[in-house]
Amino acid sequence: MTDIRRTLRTLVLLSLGLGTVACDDEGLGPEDPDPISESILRNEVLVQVDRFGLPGVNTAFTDAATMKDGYNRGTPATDEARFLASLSAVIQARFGLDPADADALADFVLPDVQPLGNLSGFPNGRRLEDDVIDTVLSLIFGVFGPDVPALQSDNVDANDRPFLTEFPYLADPHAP
Amino acid sequence: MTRFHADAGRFAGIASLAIAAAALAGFGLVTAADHTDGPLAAGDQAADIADVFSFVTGDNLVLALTISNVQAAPEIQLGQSIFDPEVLYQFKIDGDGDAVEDLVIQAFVTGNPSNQVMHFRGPVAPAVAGDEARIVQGPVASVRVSTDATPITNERQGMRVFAGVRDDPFFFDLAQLLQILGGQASGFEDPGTDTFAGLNVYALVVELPLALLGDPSSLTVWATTHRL
Repeated sequence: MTDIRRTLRTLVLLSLGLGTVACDDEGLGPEDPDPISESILRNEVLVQVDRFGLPGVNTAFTDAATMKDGYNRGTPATDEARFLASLSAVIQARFGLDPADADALADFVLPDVQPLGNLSGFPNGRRLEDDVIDTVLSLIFGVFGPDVPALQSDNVDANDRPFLTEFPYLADPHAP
Repeated sequence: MTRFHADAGRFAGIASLAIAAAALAGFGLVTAADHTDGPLAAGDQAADIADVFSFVTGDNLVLALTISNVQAAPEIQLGQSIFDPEVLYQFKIDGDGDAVEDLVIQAFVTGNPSNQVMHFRGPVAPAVAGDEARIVQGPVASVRVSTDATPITNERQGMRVFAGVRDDPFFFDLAQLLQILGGQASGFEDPGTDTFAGLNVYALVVELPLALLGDPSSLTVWATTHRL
């Protein structure tokens, strides 16, 4: 990067720093420098805080707070060895499934990743419009456990705002 | 795998409600797919992953993660980003079925809450796999963090990137669930009411060619956050 361009970029960043600047361009230009020198994270070993694969696994199938933190710091490669038995126990106690069914459900959700599979939508990947709560409820109260139709759907079938057909796909935010 | 049980009759009458309530107690603190969490993540809004999405459009894969913590801060406002420069955000991609990431897409932010730039790197092999992370060398795509309704996007070497505030894409009648748990209701209403209507999240979204990743049917994805 030339000194002139560096100066221009500095001026741009300074102007952006003045507050809310209307900006509908395409972000930063392709000639921007590698930003690593600006990051406090450079050259550091970083510790995992949270992880997420399938929706609801940590919130529904773990119980004690210490187990949740251990789970959040877990890795899919060790999920079955570390968490299958404890998840099964929680599923039995909480949802009333017998041990074999609880084992099967725990085995179904571990390792805790989203497989794209046949691309048909959750649990084959997860599209924005997929009604994952109904799927999870149906897994517990139907597919793996005793059939309880009244608990298989919350009857909320879609998001409150339409998703975009183009990138970034998520719906516009709500103003105060 | 569908199976039914001879003892399903225990879900009858009063016993049904009691067992259902006990069962749903498992969801008692669920405020989204993972919108509340264990104490460490739940006390750390910037690193608390609420949801992860993965889907294919055309020849591309789209990955999205949202952060929020409904318990700590239900109302995420426009204008002030909650991304933290001390947090590394990662999408992880496994292509060979061993549940160990072969590729990562990393993102970290620089700047202050009203003027941040998110820097994406990857997809590249991680410097270290598992529960530790280091920033990788690799393709970089940077984009200003969007703090209002107009999404700012960028594209570099075929990968589109976005970071900023959006509507919470999760939908769930949590309020009715809490009614059930509290004994004030015996089931869900029809239609239900989306507890997450009107709420915002901060989101990372990337879209990149599947050709960079391999056969989609063999891919699995997940996301992690890390701190110093």
